[in-house]
Amino acid sequence: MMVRLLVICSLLLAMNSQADTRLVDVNIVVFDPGLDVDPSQYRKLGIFPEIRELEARYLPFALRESIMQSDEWGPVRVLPAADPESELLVTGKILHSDGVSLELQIRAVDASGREWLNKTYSERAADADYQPNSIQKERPFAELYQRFAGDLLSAARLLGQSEIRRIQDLALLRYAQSLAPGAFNGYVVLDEFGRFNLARLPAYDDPMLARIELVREREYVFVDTVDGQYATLFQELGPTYDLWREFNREQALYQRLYEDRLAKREKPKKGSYQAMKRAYLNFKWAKVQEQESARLAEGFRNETQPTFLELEGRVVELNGSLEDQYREWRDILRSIYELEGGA
Amino acid sequence: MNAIIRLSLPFLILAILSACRSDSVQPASGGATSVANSDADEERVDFSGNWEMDYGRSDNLNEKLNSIYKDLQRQAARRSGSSTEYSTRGGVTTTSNPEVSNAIAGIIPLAKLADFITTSQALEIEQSDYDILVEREDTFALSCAFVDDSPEVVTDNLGSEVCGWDAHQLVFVVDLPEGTRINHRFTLAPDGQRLHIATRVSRGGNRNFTLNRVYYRFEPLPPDFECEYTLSRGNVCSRASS
Repeated sequence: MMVRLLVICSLLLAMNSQADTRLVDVNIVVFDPGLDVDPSQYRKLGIFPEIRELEARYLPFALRESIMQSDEWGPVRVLPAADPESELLVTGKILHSDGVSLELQIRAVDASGREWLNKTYSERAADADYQPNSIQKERPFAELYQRFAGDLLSAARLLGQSEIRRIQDLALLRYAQSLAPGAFNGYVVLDEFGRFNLARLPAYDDPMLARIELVREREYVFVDTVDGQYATLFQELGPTYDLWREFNREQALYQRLYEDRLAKREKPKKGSYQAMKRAYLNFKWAKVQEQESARLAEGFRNETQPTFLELEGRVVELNGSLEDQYREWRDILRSIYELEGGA
Repeated sequence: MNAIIRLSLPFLILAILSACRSDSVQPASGGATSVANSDADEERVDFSGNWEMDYGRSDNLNEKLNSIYKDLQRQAARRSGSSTEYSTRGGVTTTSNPEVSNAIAGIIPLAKLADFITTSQALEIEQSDYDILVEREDTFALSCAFVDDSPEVVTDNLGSEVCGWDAHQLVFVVDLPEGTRINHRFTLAPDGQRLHIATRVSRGGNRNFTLNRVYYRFEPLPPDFECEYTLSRGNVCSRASS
């Protein structure tokens, strides 16, 4: 009996200590699709805007999966738009993505404004990633996500538990300040380096803070609903997306082989019909390759669009994109807070 | 990775397009449509539709070569003051004049290439205010984005492309490595029922050959099935709704 009690007590203590040592909550914003180049260059750069838009929603979820492999973090969510009052906000931009290689610019900033990471991560897909029966098969570019997750964890471990606690307090009080600036002014101050600092803390049992936490929880209901839809998108589009990347990779590899063979061939006499015809056929080949890529992109779009549209239009009775819905939801919560006499 | 060069000198590109103007192309103005992002007074020709080659109106390679040959021969004869001497073997005219032989030897590869690249019997053209796609049977499609009214320039190591409007004509210029230039100039007949594509292949300053292809418009039968290409299942077809 005594032993059983001791085991229960130690389990409870362990759980408590785990709760206490939990790292911050992580919010990953839908990525910037990287479409800020001249649209006339999309074709030659192999950028298909609709696919990039989809990747911008898909890749953060892949990143989330890797971060969550460590149990040390608080909830890790994918958001449709940036929440500046996040404990840790991760933003990213797709610099390059073609199935052969992926390049992302990723930045992580905590609620104090401290930059944890701001790095370019790139990865070339390994052959094993695309072997259908390979035992080692894992999601393409898994190493990139894991490298980022590792870097994030290392950055977090450099901070003490008190600093983590301070970030969590800052996030909540910045949220409170955005919701009820009159009541929560003065708790958080901005220093000369552009960092947020705690000036003072409200009482532990402050009823207004309790209401703020309630509103925050309601907001998370929306975020978790959206997050669930990203999960669906991730699961449903995953196989097609992997296929798209695999086709692109095969095409790029074939192109490289073709160009290698071309370089080794004996050249016919300059200006002869054979020389001109060969130059034309090479150009034609490149064009056919380019157009085949566009056809694959169309096939990918045809297959994924229904799921994608469903994702875009399914959350509650709000209108517009997920980003708009999220903003609208936050506005509604603020109105409710005011109606409840919070402000 | 292809190197992309966006030339910032539109006047240079326009100069290229103008330089590529085929003497045999006659202006046409039929089937014009307004374009939202173009100059207010400008109207762009709409080439949309299905087109099939009209062999009767298109150039015949041998006849065209013979005609050039005879011209060269006459010019050479005028210069030397002698009479014209040539014979015809297998439909191709030959001569013993070395000056003419050399000139024609330089033109024949260009002519053969022009013929080789213009064999598409059918074309399907989709055009919007912003771009055009010319699907050509048995070869790659020509496409052009009308961005800010400036010609689109795309370059890679296997060749470069310039496309754009030259008044009511649409021009595609392909520069291949080692100095070969291909120029397709699209002109629509005034009644909008015929499409003329003048393809000029050139090398260096004065060697060039233009082959004219004429297409007539046709209305394809409505398809029995509507197909949509998907990545994992290939073409997915369903019976077309009437």
